[in-house]
Amino acid sequence: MVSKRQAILIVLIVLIATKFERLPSLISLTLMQDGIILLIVLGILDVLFLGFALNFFNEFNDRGDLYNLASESWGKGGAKVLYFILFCYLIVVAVLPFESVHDFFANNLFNELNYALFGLIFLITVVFFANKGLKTLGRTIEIFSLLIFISLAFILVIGLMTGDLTNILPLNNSSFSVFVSEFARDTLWFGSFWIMFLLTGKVKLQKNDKITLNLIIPYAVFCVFVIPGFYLGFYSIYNNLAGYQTNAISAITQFAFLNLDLGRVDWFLVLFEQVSTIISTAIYIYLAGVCFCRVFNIKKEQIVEFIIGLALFLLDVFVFKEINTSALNFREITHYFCIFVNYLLPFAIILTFKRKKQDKRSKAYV
Amino acid sequence: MFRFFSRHAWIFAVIFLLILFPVSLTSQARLNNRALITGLAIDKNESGYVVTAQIARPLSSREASGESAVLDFVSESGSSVTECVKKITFEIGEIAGLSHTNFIILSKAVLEDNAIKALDYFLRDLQIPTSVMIVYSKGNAKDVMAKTSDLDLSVSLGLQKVFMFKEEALSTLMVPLQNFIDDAFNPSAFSILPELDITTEETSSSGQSDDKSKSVGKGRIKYFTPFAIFKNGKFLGEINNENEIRAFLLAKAKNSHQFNLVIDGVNDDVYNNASVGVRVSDKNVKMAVSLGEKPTLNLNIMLDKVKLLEVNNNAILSGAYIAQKPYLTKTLERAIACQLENDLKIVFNKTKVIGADVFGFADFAYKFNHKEWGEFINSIPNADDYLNYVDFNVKVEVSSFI
Repeated sequence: MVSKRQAILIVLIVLIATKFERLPSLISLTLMQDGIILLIVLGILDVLFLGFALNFFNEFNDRGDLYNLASESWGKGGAKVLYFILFCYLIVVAVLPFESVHDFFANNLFNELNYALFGLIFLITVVFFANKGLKTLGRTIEIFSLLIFISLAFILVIGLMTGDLTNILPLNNSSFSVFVSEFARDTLWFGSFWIMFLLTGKVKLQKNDKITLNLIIPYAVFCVFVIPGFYLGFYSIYNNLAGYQTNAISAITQFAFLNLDLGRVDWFLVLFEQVSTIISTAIYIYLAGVCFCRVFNIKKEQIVEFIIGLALFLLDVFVFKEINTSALNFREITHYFCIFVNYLLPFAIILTFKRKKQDKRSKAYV
Repeated sequence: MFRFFSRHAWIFAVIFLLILFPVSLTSQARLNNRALITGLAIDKNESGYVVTAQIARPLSSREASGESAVLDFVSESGSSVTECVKKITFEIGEIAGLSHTNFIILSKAVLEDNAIKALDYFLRDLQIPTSVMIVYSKGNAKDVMAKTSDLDLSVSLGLQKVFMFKEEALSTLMVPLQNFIDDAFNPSAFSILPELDITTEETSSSGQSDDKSKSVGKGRIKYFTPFAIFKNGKFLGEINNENEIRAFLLAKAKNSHQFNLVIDGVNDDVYNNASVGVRVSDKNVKMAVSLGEKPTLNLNIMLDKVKLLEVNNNAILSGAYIAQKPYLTKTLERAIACQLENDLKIVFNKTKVIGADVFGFADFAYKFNHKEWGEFINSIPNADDYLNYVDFNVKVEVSSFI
């Protein structure tokens, strides 16, 4: 069980974890300036679905976790299918922070890095985090959250002050079909509201206490202002060459301190922000492990989490070797699945669970 | 306590592993063998390119006599820049720290061939920051690179900072690789590079062991140097005139701070064909574009906090007390405005002839008048010749004297 504050921070950390690395440069390849509009649209959708998720969470948190609720509504078989889908989804999205840590350390921070061995150490770290459970993850996030948010704020300010903001013009210059195509492919990076569904039944709330505006407001600020604002800063600096910068968060601060003799002090801010990526990898591995164990009635979650982490590591080393092309190919393969999970599955869950609850109430009344 | 450590021994093992293993997991000695490449020079030859690296080799306290490092230069040739850089890495026998590179010199031959092609390697290699400064040299880039050893060590290692400082004083422009290439893909397709010209003055110094004087070279970076202008990355020509360069920088340099102007031919009761030096603390440049019947680029420059520094006057000055205020006349204001407006018009007209959109008319129109820009481009026979249809209006004003 986690506290209300920890639950809110978990969702926010997962939200920001992968939005500032590869995604801006991928969007800039097709949409260029209109990428900011895409991010605002995706952000608004995410906020909307967070509202649905919170509505579900507040109604069912005291009744049990998502698996138990699904068992009541859809039967044990239905619950297992749901959790298997979520397991697959969590593995897919876990690839993003895993890859971004690889890209950052191997391609940006160090000249030469034997990633196969560095990756093992990273694997041990995230599996250790995941094994420790939700409570420890929540506490860890509480410790690091302020550092991460402050670093992100500084990076954002630096980026916005360095570039020529008029480079974001003209807007509304892309064709609708390209916009829709890019929208579909970038849903992979969104959908952090799913954490609230998975945290149902695992958050310790006082009686009649709910999670509402205290998550929706910061979530909306990040989705609608911070993430698009970051893209604005990034694109205003790199303009036509934005697609070459595979790690936007380290690229955005590159021009800020040229006249100082201190070197790249901005790397500290970038490294602190990267902690969110490491922690979110652990969260995804933990949640994927929980889902898998519920499906197959496995008691030892730690072993499953280790296997999931190892699978991600092997995928990273052997399948996603070429970072530049693997991101494009990966989202090409997975985006339909992500659209289904992000935008259709929540409706299916909410509508059927609520109907089940109403049926129960009316039977009880009779 | 023993139980605690035995239960958590694996954590300590992991921490031990993390501390002991170097991130590259190679021998410790290799980490120390890192050569800091602080600058690169690219020349063209028959078979491809010649790349010269400026390497800063730190000196131990035993070896150093005042200086903390010494510069070394390593050259290699190859069919591509990638091949040259690879060969340099092998030749120096150490890990080449390209992330410390702060400037790249291109020879004029490289510019005349294709500068963007030569710089493609630096754009794609993530180790090299795209904030690296690009300059060009009239002659051999390798020779100019060798002259950097005549400069003060801090200057030769931090040439980019020097150019940033000079940009604030409106004597040059610090052009990063990112901007140079990115500008070529904008609608105006106009990019620019400053020249790096180092002159060496012979100075005498007395040796310590005996009284014989030694002649050593002292390098100086030339204050005003021409600019090379490009369209779509293709070299078009140079802007050579100092006044034109100054006027151009007035409109283009974003990071200017205080800068000096020399205004000639100021003439009235106070000024008698005077040459006047002024310092400008602030400037505000506003651009506007109209795309009606007559496409026009309107440039408004406001100079603020202008201070009169020096007057070379032929007038007879009477009275023991010469107050500055009588000098701050409307004539001076007008003279400042006229000279700068004239210089800006000359720059525009000269570069218009060769198709260089120096003030970014196309970029501005594309960003802020997108629809009209599209209509305008479609209405002319050849879209590349849009500049022939554009008029230029410039207004310079002095907001205040201090």
